[in-house]
Amino acid sequence: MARFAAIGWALAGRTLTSILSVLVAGTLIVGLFARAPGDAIDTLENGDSVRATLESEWGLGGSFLARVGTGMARLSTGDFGESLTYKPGVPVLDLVRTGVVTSAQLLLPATLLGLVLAFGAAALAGGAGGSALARIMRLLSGISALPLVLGALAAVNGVNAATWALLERGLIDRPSWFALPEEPGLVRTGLAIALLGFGSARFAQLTRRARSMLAVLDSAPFVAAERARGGPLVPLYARHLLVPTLRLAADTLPALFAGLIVVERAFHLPGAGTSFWESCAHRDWPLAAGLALAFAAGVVGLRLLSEAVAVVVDPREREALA
Amino acid sequence: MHRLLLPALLLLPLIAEAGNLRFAEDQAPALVNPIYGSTMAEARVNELVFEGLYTDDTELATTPALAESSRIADDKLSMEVTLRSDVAWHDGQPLTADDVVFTIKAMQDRATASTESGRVAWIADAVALDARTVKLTFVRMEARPEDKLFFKILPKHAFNGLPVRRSDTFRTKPVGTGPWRLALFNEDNSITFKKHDGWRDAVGIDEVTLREVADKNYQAKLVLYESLEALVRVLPRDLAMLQNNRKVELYPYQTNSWWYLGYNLNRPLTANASVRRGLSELVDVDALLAPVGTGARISGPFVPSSPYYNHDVEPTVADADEAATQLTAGGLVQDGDTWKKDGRAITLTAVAPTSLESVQEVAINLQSQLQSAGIKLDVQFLDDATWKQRVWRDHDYDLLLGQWTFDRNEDIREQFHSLGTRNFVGYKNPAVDALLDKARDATDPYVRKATLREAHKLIAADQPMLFLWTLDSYAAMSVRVKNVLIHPFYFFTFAPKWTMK
Repeated sequence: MARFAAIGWALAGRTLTSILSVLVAGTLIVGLFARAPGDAIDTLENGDSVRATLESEWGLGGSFLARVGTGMARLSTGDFGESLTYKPGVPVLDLVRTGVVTSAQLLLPATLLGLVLAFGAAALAGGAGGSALARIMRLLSGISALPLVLGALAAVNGVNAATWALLERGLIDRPSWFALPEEPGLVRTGLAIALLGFGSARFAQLTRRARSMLAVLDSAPFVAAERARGGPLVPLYARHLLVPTLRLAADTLPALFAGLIVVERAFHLPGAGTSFWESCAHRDWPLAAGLALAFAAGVVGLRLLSEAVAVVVDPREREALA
Repeated sequence: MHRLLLPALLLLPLIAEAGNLRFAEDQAPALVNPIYGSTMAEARVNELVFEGLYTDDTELATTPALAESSRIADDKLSMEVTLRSDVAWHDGQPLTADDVVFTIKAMQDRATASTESGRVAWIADAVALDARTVKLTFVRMEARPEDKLFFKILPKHAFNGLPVRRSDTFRTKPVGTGPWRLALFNEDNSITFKKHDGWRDAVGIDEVTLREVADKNYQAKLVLYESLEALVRVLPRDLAMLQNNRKVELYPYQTNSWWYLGYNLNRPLTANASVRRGLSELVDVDALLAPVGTGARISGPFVPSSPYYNHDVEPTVADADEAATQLTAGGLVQDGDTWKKDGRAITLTAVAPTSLESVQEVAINLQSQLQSAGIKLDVQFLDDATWKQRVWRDHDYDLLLGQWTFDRNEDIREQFHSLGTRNFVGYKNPAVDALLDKARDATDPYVRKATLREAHKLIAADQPMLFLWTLDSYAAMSVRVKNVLIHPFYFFTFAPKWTMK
């Protein structure tokens, strides 16, 4: 019983640390945007003449400390304010929620894809090394994001041009996804996920870490014993890779968020990345701060989740906590 | 069955002709409220959804829109406007004089912070005399007040009184009287407009869709791929590609917009008129224009087709010798290949907005021209927000590349009057101020024309900016769109008469 209580206290402590991390991140974000050069009023054509009116209406006046204090006080009550210039009048919380839900449909498959590819590359490239697949995987793990972005854009243009050629010859009907469809189509979304998962999650680094995780397991005595017994290795690997993989995912999340901004912009997809870019371009600091805070909370939340899962599935973690 | 079939067959040509016209904008407006408009995309959307008391006819002469008739007082200090009786808002409510009064008061209310308040600054008071008659009292005598009554009218019943706020829900659920109503803000940032069935005349196109296509280079391709039916302005480099396509028609149209290279008159170096003239004469404007398209050179703040353009003033011509004379007179010294002031090589900072198409080519060419003439130019491209902050608010630049676009009134007062809100180059000339005041107050159009031509001459002589060119504009339309006539400023003014096959 005392062991469970100790684990409970330890988890509560980590939860508190996570909340404090989000609060510190929130203060930093609010502070940064309070010190950012210019504001939303600058973007208005008649900004000079209406500054006095709008500064008080939009809460943009006052000293730096006063703005940070007011901002944090409002955030602590769940009041994220309204978008000022990008989507004037829309509650920031609504925009953040919509953006996060939309972007999650890219982020989740992209994260999975990144991890599957990384472990695949690690398994193959770390193996015999002579096969063509192993060589390809080694090559892919060294590629940076830039040629991938350019390649993906060229692919979109190529697909459009080829489809148009077939359409003009009457060989096919107009596909629903062709050249700016009403809804983001399969090709565009698929390419965006591939690019995000493969390009922006620092794939080379991901593969290295996956390889080192596999190496540790490969040389573990319990794996050797299982192998000697001829037992199934996949469940064993899966169980022991779960926690480090979650940690790995949490570590790659900031890079994925950065990639999300680029990918959503490049493929003209709606989501939190596009909203963040546009809110900065419009000097819409309340919205930009809300989205940045959501990103920060996402990273901290995933780290906390990996800790909690570790406690549940790994006896060594429980022992350490107890 | 036959009774149903016959009307259906009769209706078939109409059904076939109505369609969906899709056009592209770089950025879809997030706010559809004409009293806050500041971009051309917003102006075009407002033209679809809203109407003013007056508008342009196809000859660009003032003609009543929501107004039925008007009577100007003999002393020209007031007028009474009678509204049409057959106008309904998109929500079915009738248009009333209270709506007109509300719109004017809202634009004038400082708490509303309207970007369009200048359009009603000449109105001292507005009163509803009855449900259909509004009396406007002017600040000073007005000869042709109808020409200034183009601003869009808002429905009083859609707001909770004054002041109006940018964040009012009206921004995404606007109610107008125009030929199309805003039906939907779509998730992909496109906006769908549906035909306003209660509009007084026939509307040829059922649905208009604004598509946000941030990449200008991609817009022409989408016209080719039949993913768009209209492109407001074709980039010069895409003209040949679209011209050779049998499914696309190009429509040339004249705009009241012109490019300029502005000098910051708040900086000691460029405050010197000789230095400005010298710098202007170092620039080969034709060479700057060639890569970005075709157009007409200008010598002052109007386009050559304007009645106010002074054709006696010649555009500046590149002349290295004359430039050297002027720069020397301005206190600069040529040391080898470099121009110096007080022993230090001249380095100027030029800013340009990234949103202005082809500005990169112009700026880089300009940099190269000045560099080879011995003046270093540091070019910075600024996003809209930074542009407004650096140029409009802080006046932090030496030279700026920009473009002004005017509506039919071609009112340059804000740009060149010493009290003008858009006079961020810091130009001050009491004689020009007096001329601009006189033009504003002129009740005789001939006096206004002569006065503004004189202002053109004085401004050109002072060179607060090097006036560059007005570009030829072409719209691209699918050949399926018929009866196309384009308004040079609002684009869609005559769109109700367009039809689609």
